[in-house]
Amino acid sequence: MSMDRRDFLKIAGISSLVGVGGFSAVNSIGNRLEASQIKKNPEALTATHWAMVVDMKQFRTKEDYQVCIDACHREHNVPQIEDNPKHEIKWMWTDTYEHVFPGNESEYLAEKIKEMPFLVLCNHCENPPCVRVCPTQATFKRESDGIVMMDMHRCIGCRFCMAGCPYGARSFNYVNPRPYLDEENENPEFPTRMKGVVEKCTFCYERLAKGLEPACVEAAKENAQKNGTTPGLIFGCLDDPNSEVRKILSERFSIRRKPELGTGPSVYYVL
Amino acid sequence: MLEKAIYGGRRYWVWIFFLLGVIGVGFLAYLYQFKQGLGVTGMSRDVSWGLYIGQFTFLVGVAASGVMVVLPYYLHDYKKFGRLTILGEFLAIAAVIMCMLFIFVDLGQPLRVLNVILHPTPNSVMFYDMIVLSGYLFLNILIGKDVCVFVCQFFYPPVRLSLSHLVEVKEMVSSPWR
Repeated sequence: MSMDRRDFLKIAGISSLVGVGGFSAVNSIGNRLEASQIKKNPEALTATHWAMVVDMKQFRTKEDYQVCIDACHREHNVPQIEDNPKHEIKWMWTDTYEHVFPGNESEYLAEKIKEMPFLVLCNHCENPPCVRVCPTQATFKRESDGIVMMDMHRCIGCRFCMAGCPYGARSFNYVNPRPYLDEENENPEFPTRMKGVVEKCTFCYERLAKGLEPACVEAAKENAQKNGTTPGLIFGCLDDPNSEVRKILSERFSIRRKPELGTGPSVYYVL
Repeated sequence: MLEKAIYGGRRYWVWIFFLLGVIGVGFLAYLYQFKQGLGVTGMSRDVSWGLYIGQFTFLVGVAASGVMVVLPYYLHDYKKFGRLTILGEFLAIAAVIMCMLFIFVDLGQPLRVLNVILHPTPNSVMFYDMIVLSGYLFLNILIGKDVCVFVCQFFYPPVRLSLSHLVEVKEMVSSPWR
């Protein structure tokens, strides 16, 4: 059978269209299935919109911050890369008022607030820009409870989400993170990462599934108990009017990071 | 057109081998980056995109300029630009290929690059990057080949460009119109 170039191009063009189109159509139907189709733990904590309140009044000493950060980083095998700050991985860290709430600062702001470190983490936005720009849906918003999830096995490492996130909540593994892990304190329950993928706070979805609160919230509670104060991190469902987060938000003045961008952060700060 | 690339003098081949050497050094450097991770580029949490993406956006412009060069020939029927169109199209092909390679070397997990097709995400601009770049490359190869054949026939009606006519092509290359 002979064919000229014109026919060849026609057939090749149409068959590749059908192939790619059909494959992606089948695939997009397949994507509707969620990974959660195993039996749920009856003790799992569930909500329709998880949110966190950071009560800055309860953060008095450096240690109050550090226990939360350490608990998070230990729980998730976050490497402590100290030899090169450029390669740093952070799920939870602190920054100044000026950096956390840019545009809200003023010359006459109370000195105390100006110098106070603020605890920052992924805001689990209602309208997350990182999800919008991800070319592979490796980062996605879980419809059931609003957590912005991260599939580190699908991530191609294009770092578009880092460019999209207005809060700098995402870190990229510029080097192999495993040599930087403290082998003795490694958490075998949570996977370690390989180089070339992006990671961030996931509101401890793996602990919620087991009926535990996020590691940072638990650490803040323990710390408060030890010091005889109230915990600085409060976690709960924003859609439930009787939840702890709703109670504190209805009583005290709260602010969110860069609300003008329309991302709808789910982390609230009460001062 | 590509057949012309294998004819040239001593200086031509010296230049070609020099360029191949540069490509070889770049390839070895990439292998090093592939092994060590993107940390070797000096990028960081704050500067998450660097020279690679800068080069990509620059070369997209270069590739688009290929079309600009072709426009007078087709739209304004300005046939004097005929020979230039070949150069424009092939410059566009080279630039688009470099664009794609720059994105590829910028990926943290390059072996997963097909995830972009496997999990098509029309809300991501990167998805359109993939479609536009591959589509533009395909179009340029197609048009480049067509223009090439057309121009050759325009100037040398008896010549039909194909590998079996290399001798004729060689004569054409050394001919005065060039």
